[in-house]
Amino acid sequence: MRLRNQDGIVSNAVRVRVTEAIRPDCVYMVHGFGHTARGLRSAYGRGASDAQLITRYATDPLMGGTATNVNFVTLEAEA
Amino acid sequence: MLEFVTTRHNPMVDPALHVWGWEVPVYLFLGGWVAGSMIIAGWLARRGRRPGDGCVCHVLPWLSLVLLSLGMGALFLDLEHRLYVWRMYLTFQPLSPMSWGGWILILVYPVLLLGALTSIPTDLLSRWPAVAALAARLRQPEAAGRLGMVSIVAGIALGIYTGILLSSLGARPLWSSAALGPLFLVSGLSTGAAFAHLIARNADEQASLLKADTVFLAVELALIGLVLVGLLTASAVHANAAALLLGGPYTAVFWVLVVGLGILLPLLLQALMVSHRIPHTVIAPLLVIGGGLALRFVIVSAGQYSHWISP
Amino acid sequence: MARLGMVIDTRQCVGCMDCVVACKTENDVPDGHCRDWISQRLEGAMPDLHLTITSERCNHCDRPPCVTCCPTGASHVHDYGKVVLVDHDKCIGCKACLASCPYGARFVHPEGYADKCTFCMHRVEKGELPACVAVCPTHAMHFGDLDDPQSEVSRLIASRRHFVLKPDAGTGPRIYYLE
Repeated sequence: MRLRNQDGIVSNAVRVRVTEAIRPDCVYMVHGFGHTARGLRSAYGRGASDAQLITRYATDPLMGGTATNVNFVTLEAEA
Repeated sequence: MLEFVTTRHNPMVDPALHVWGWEVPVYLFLGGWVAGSMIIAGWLARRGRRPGDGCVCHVLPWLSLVLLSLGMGALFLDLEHRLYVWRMYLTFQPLSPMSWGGWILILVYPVLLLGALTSIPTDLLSRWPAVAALAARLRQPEAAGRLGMVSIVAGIALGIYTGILLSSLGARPLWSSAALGPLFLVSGLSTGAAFAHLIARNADEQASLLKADTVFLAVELALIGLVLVGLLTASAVHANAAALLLGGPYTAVFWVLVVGLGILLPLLLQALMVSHRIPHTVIAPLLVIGGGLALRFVIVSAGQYSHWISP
Repeated sequence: MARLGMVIDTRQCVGCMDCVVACKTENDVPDGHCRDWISQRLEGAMPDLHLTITSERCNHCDRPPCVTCCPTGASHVHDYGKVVLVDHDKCIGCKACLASCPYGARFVHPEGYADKCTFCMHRVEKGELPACVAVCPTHAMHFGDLDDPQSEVSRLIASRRHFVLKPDAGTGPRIYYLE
């Protein structure tokens, strides 16, 4: 399946597993996959990038920390 | 609900065991066919058939030599450490049915060769007097009868040990049945009888082989039933394995190819042929032979897929 | 030396896979194969969940089916510690042992013989611990003589709730997991 975020960014296709282990309204992705640099021959194009789907963030006004949990995805079946 | 995740990813083992491909089912089929042929040839020899009387039992040893060699070739191809195959023959492991089998195969060859020897016309053997003398001795009624008994016993051993081998691998619950050895033996008898019926030239032999095959098919069906009943009533692990054939991924291929086309249809056709209600057809024996091959493929494949489901 | 076995504390194991990496390094395990692995069992429904992380490998069973099925005697019980080993030069690669293991612990080495965890006997016979036990960062893994009631492994089994994998397969596995 592919993940499409609220701004229309679509991830690479990945396998999906349904689990009890996380909240029902969440999707979990392993960080560090979906590389786009061709020089990374073993890693290029493998898996999906969670960073790619984080297109919005909120900033804490006091210390500037960023919150990325303001992105939402829908799952699309791969044809 | 148990969610199970593992990092193991060994080839041929994960996600489901598939160490044996086409080579092993093909050998099981050919071995069973040879076993059946040996029992039939031995039986006919003990009933007093002599070379020159057109009995099918004279050509069966030759056929068996070819088929068994092909089967052993397939077995050799299955090995991953082929150059070490001779290690099988430096030892005998009494608790390993595969060790029994290695030696049974070695012992079957001389039996087949002696059987084939008796069918060679004496004038062709005149260049080798010792061989000709041996062939003449084997044609004597008593010797022929004894060779026939040896052929039957060797055939039973060959036909039954493979089922015992699979049933001793307890980690594959689908194979955990004491009836698996007899099932493979009867299936081999059925295949052997069906083919012998096809090539028999003597009308009486054709008829009795057809009748025998019909009995073998019925017994085979009963044994399949016993295997399934045994699994369903054994434990959750075994019932789960049986479910592969009863609603699971192997249901269609098992009931349509193995049971329907391989046993039930030919059983019906042959019963009708035996009682002379329908004319003779080669379709029934051919379905039996194909069904024997399908049985081996399904049992080997589904058995590897089955596993010990307890955590 | 009687029977060598392992005790693994599932409360300490975090699934970091140091044991897997150490084994691959120590034993030159070929790419794409593994002698040990991490498994997770999750039971229940959110939020009532129970997760067990286990580091698994060949259990060096007391009644190993992989030894009885071997036609050449390549798969055998070693005198020292009664561990289950494979003699590479006797193995013909028939794969009966792979089919006989309820734990799926064996694999075929690219060179053709059946291979699996050896409890690092080459280290143990020199007085060292198996590689996986030695590197575990949480000290979750223990190794020793199960027949010695004073050994660490025996005392852990006697004093803590524990389980083994697939006990009903009847093989008598010698890796105990502490709950």
